Amino acid sequence: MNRAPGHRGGAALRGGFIARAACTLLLGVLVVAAAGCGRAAKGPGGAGASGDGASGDGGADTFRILAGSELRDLAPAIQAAAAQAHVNVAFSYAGTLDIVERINDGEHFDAILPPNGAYPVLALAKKPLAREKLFYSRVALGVKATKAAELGWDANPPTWAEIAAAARAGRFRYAMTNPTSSNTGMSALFAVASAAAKKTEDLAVQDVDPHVITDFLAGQKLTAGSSGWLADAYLKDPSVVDGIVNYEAVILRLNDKLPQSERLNLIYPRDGVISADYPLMLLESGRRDEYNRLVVALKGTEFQRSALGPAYLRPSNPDAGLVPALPSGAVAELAFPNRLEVIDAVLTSYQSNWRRPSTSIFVLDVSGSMAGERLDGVRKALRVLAGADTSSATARYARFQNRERVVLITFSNDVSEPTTVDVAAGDIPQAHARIRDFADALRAKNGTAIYSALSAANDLALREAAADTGRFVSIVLLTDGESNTGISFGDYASAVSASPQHVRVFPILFGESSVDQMQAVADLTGGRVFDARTTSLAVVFKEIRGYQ
Amino acid sequence: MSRNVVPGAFFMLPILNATGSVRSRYRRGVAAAFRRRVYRNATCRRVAARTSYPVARCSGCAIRAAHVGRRDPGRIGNGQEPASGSDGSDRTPKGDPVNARRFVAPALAIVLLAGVAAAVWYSNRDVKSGRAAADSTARAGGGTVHGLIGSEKEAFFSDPRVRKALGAHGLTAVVEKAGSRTIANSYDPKLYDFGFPSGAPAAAELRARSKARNVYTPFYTPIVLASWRPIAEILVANGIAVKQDDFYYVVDMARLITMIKDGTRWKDLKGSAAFQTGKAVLVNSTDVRTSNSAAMYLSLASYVANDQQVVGSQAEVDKVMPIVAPLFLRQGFQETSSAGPFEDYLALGMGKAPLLVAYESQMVEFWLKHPDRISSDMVLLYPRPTVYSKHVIVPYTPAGELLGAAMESDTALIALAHDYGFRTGGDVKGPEIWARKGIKVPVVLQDVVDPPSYEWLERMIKEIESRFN
Repeated sequence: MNRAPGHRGGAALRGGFIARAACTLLLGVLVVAAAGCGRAAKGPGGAGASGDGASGDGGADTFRILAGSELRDLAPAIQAAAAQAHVNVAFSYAGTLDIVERINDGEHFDAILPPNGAYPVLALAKKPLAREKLFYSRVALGVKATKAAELGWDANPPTWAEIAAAARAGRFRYAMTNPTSSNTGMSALFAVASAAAKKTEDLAVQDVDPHVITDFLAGQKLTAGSSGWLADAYLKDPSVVDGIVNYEAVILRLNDKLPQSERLNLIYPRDGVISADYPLMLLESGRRDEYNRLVVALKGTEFQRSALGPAYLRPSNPDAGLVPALPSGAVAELAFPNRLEVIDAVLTSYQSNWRRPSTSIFVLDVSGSMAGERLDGVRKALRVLAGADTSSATARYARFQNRERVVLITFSNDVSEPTTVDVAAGDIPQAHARIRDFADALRAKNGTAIYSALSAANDLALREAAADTGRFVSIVLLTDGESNTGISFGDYASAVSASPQHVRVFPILFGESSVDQMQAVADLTGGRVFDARTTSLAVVFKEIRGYQ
Repeated sequence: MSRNVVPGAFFMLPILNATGSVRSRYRRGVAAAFRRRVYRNATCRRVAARTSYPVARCSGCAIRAAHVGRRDPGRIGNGQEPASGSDGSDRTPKGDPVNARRFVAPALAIVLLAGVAAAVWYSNRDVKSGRAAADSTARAGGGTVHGLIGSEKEAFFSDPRVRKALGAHGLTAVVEKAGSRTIANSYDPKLYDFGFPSGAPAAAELRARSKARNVYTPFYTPIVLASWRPIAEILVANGIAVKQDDFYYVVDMARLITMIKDGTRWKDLKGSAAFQTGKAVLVNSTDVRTSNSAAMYLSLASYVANDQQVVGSQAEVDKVMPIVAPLFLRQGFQETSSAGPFEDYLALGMGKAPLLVAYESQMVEFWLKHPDRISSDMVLLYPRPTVYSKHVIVPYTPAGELLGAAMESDTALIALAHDYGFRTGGDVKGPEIWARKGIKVPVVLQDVVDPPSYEWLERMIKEIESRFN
């Protein structure tokens, strides 16, 4: 031995006798210890963000997973397979960046199931204890068959640069999620950036060619904070775009619901894609046993065949085989960056310089019932968007950005004149300060003229959209009650229906606001309802930013 | 080496003989060990300096207990497979009763002390982990051994047949997987009874940290490039690879690395119609900061970049770094452990992983379980030179010790290791079994080199690590 043999660790015992003696010695001690052993009780965990309600019960033995929001459809199958392995699984849903942030903020989950493991591995403050890839899905382009034929993409898959050129020329309009909120948008953005840099391997900040990226983004006509919602929006009105960037699994499931004429061709850009690999990542060491059982169940041939096949997900278990609808040919895989600062730089540039600029209209209830805590919540949420919170990546991405026009309208009995703040490079801190001043000056009184306010916002939004067709224009409605003065929902609905185009309204459930009325507004305009009744307004505002 | 001597019987006697002179024997032991180490290092340096062999004679000497004087210099790296324990990491004369006597009495004393300490510790703490919770019941059962293992051995340990064979020794193994470098850095006898990394350098480091008296090398496997027939044929067309004996390919690592260095893209190669992408020719590996298979790839690449010499000095590290660092940095995000990338290889195919650093065992195991895929497009490229990944059990506790001994000597477990694609020592080594099932691998590999010592491997990894930031 080259180590001092008398050292405690060096005196390794050899021979069964001594080993057994030691075991016997420890035995008594351990039996006593066993009696006191028990897993620490799990806290209830924070509430899911709006619209991302948890499923499954929240009992103390529940194995809690924070998963990518597009997995909602698969959750019952996962829960059923888990139940067979005697694991009681409950899901909450969030986008990839939010998953990481909520965990880093100390929210309690036993495991996470993000679509792509790379970002969480790089960004989680505490590294996962174990990870197992459960299934795969490529981030692809779904293009209407006629459009694919017109562009020749059905015969020869295009490169990302060719897609960008078609987008710039106005020949290809598509829906894609916001890369700072959702993995599909992020994967596509990094794929374009890598391809444009002519670097299929690791990307550095200086390699990124903003021209190809801005050309590509010129074609983005529909944005959203989640891949699932984007697909639903396409389903409701396929006419506004020629295609969609999404998981191949989501595109194929979408096709099952679309009439033949609207179905999408799956197209994998020739220079490559970035696939989602759905790793189940264990965070809580005390749950390892359940985690292991869960992994065995979910990687078992039965689950992989019966649950993944119909969902068009690629199995990680080679015995399960591919369903015929999934192409099995070679598609080059692009590398995901291995440095957080590269990811951060690209996402920041996306928000401030590359994306289509937006006009974000906020219609805020300042009726009497908003006084006190509620209005404080509004002030706080606005301050976050106005740059007051620099602690997290998502807060930074959610800030009002360069080239953004922020319009603030308040209402009680009457509708205020809009306060318009243009956020422009060189002047961003001042613009943010104006919005914070606006927030500080909010005062609550009188009644609730929701539809008069929405109507005014809609008129303003239509003018904005007409003035600059390159802008994303959207309206956020925050109210804590029902309309009790001003025009009626019916009057507002007729006005919207008569409008040349629909500007999406994202109503926020807050206080005693009416779920039915808010849902009606969202349905009317193609928007989405967010729920701030159990989550802070600041969190909801951040989430809505993915849709603006 | 008498590696297969059943330890139990042998060490009963010395225990009885242990007397009051233990303390002085102890000191002599320390002094002797120290002298031997210094001597060995000096010898090694001289040997390394004058050697004309394209191999590292003294790899690992700084931390291994190798008896260089007894080593046959022509033996290492000349293509012979390493019989278990022959990697130099376990040259302690295990069957030597004098040696044994010197250690056992203090060992027993320490175990008693440790037992008391454990009792106090257990009664004064909260449950910290699942292991601890499970442990209290499991250890009471007498035979549960907890280990941290390289991910590619997980399936082996969860096999009911393996459990049964270990059960015959009174052992139940509970394992967690981790990257090999993580294992080397996670020595914690409170949590684990043994570490089972997948490479001799990581094992040597773990051994140094754990001060383990013995280590066991139940199996080993060569590093290969898992690939696809169209890719292999492109490499053949470009003179990078040759087909051998009509069933496997040998790839010239020096030329492959040159091609990578030049930034060649697949579509730029001759006869690349089957893989017309702008993807750069790169070998996919795991994260070299955490995983052994990547460290083995680094071992190979650094050897090639160092003019067919094992890296063993700072000057050589400086020389190879501009060539080897980009092999990892250019890959983008990498997995921490080798099971993930192999799953990607299977699930996403050629587009994701045209060339993947893998263990031969991973592919053989897959083929054994999926005989229908033996004649598919999945092919193995054997790098030339190549390196063996030795799977070394480093015991921390008596229970871990029992497991190591059983794994290395039990013929049932050896046969099961073959089922998982591992090569073993002993009369039956693996390839002959697989051949009967239609899986042909080269029985003897030419031009096998040793990995650098942990010290220099670590130095290279740290330098690459610093470039990630």
